[in-house]
Amino acid sequence: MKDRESIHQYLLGKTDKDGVAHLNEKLCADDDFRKLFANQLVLDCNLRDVAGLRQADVPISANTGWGQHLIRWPVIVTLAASLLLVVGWILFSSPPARVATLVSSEDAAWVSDLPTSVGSELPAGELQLISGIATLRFDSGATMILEAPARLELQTDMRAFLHDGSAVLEVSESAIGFVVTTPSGDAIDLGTSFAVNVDGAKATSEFEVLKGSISVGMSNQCKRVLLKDNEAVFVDCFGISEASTAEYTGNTKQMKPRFRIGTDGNEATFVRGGTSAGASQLLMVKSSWKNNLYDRKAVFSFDASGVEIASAVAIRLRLNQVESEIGFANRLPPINVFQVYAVPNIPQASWDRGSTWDETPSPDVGVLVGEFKIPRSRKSGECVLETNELAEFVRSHRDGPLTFVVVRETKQIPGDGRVLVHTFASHSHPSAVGPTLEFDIIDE
Amino acid sequence: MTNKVSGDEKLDETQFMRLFVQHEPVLRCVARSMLADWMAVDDVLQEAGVTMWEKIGQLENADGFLPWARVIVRLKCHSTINSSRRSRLVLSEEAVRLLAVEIDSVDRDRYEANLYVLQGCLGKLSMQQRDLVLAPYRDGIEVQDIAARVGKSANALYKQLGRLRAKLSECVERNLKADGSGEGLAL
Repeated sequence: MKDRESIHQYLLGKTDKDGVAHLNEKLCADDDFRKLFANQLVLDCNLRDVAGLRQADVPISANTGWGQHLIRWPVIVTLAASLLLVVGWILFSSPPARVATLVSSEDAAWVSDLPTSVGSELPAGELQLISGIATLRFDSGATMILEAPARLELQTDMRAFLHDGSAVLEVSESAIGFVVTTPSGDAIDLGTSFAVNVDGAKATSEFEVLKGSISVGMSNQCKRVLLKDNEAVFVDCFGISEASTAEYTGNTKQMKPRFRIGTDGNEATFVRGGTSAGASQLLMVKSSWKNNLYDRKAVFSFDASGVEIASAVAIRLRLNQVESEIGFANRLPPINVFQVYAVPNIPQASWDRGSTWDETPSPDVGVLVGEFKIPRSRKSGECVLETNELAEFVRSHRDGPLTFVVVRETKQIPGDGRVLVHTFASHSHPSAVGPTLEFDIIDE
Repeated sequence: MTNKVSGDEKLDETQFMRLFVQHEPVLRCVARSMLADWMAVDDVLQEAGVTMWEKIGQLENADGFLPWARVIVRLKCHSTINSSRRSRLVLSEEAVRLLAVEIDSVDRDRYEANLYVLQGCLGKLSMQQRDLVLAPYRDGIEVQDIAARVGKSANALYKQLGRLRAKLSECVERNLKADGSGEGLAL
């Protein structure tokens, strides 16, 4: 593992003379180390390709379908320009950055760095649809109707990665070969309309042909299945299996029993330099530009001793954002990022609503278990966190109180005037549910 | 595309460009195996591309493009290294020579298979982890800036970055091995 570290340091430009000397010594003496180094180099080059792709460099497919070839245009364009000096031709003109256009939006709320107003031209990048329905038309001619909640990565005008959520694709003749990738597989369109439904947390997908045909494959495997009208398959890590296309029957998805626990009142908002603040039914978070720090944090604890955590196949934290009456949203950036830290080894008794800022759990002593984003335009709604880090923390600290701190990472826009304080329901909120830890339990 | 090119049957611009585009990621990796700085890698690729076009007549057939292009890229890297050897942050000639055997086993198929699996592995990370992993390759984004933004030290973030890269590397290796064995993409 130390070998790997020394290679990463070199590739990240964080090595020194001694580090390079160590690498030289190992590269000259050790066959296996050379293999490892070569593998890490390929990873490094691959990562750069992916970063280029995600940075809205327009990628192209040198071959369609299964093995995609991602090329960074600027290098090609630069080379073409250089060759121009030699042979005097122009092969390439600047490619358009657009991959798709957002053609309609029905009550859609987004979390994205990409533009999200109707008519926007969308380059490669990621979109999260929090609520509503949106229609995207890819430049290739494919149309995608996306249903919230969904996370979609636009890759090229012929390719998209649906990380989570549901979508229906209508593919015209010009877009035959359009690929929708999911965490467990992919579908290559052969002229059709089809639906895809992805459960990102479980890495499962369902593909259903509405009309026409598609070819479905598993990630990293060559075997593919051809689906025709009204046929459907379910794809997970074990393989591709037939799925029902019947109208809702109530058992198309196996629902696992869910177990939820609340904070039972072990929660409070703390203000920097003071103690707990605000109404007890609210948990408040705020950050300010003045000291470049968050200055209100929400702290809450769960007692999970009554839950059979060993049988849990999924663990998620739910918070309900409720309307805030404090401050102005226009003093915030369009998208606000909230971080959730888990704080290990904090006895329940060591803090309460009377504790001071410094006495209460803080991110400095915690582990980041995930983050969520809230557009400044959104006044209320659910925030769900389901990450490997959260599950790992809960599983490894099941005996003690599970304490979390939520802070707003995004700072207010500098200037005068009160910035919006984000508020979440606490255990005692009159209408919304307070922080909840939810477990999907295996049905024995 | 015509495979044979000799004498009067030279590759035309479109054919050359297509070959270059197809093999450019692998050639970039060859340059990266000799140069620690990505900007230098891009400069070398650009210069090498021009040289390849100038010397296209040396190429006997399209199938020989990759080995031929590797030689040109390596020559360009050597001249870059010679002007920066005094920085001492470059690998020794012997190390580069031995490493070349491994690097030459990387062809387009292997490169693309890795890239495909890597994309799946990246999809398993949280958005924040992905941003961190890709930050070193993005223009205008420094790990130090991210560290300041999230209130962590740059060193702590580099450590996290190292762990995430190790995780990704293991995920890619495991899933490439699992190819055909019926296992899914696991991180």
